[in-house]
Amino acid sequence: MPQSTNDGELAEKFADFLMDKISKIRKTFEDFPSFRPNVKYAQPLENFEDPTEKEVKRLISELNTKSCELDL
Amino acid sequence: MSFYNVPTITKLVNLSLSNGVFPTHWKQAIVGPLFKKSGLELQLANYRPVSNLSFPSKLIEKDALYRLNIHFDTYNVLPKNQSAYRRNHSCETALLRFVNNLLDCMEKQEVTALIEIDLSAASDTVDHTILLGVFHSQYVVNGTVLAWVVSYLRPHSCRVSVNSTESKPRSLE
Repeated sequence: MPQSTNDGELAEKFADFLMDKISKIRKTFEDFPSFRPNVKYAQPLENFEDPTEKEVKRLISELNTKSCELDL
Repeated sequence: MSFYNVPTITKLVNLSLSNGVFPTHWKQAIVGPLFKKSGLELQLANYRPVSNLSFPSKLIEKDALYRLNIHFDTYNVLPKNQSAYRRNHSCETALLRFVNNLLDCMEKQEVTALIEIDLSAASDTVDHTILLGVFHSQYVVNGTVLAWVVSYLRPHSCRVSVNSTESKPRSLE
């Protein structure tokens, strides 16, 4: 990583850099002509069906076995 | 892997989907800067932000996606040429299509031009209003499901982590 006195300062610097990048990209959308999506006809999806335990089990097995600080 | 918690986890997923609410707490991402490739200068612009989410967050997301995909496939509402984030599609199928079109045109002695666009991306730069419009009109999603998508998209925050030291949370509102 770039030079910095400590990890905390570097984390703040990268966060500021990232927020700045995001706001710059968002600004370029501001005077974008209003977007009209295609209209399609279908039976609308209004409610999710209740997941079954079997299905949740299958989805858990399919997820990568990765974890991060948030799982502690 | 032990599955004795499955009933509880199923209940949590169910509560989120049936109420059309994505818990705010599970939307906070930890962003780890990842060096794009060796040899580049050590400056912030050369680090890719990689967002990590908690396990329940990814699980609920995955269940919602599974259900949305069934709807998308049933009514064939995704754009014909979309190759990413879609079952049975990949770079390979996109290239196959491209090469086939190219050869077709050559056969007919037509001139072919290719335009490529490199999108500048940072996390969460998709325009939510446009995306929700597409969900509503093009994907024909309404009611609790649309409410869930709205809740999933905002509000939302992240923290940057460098060697396990975290920054203050930043709002991505």
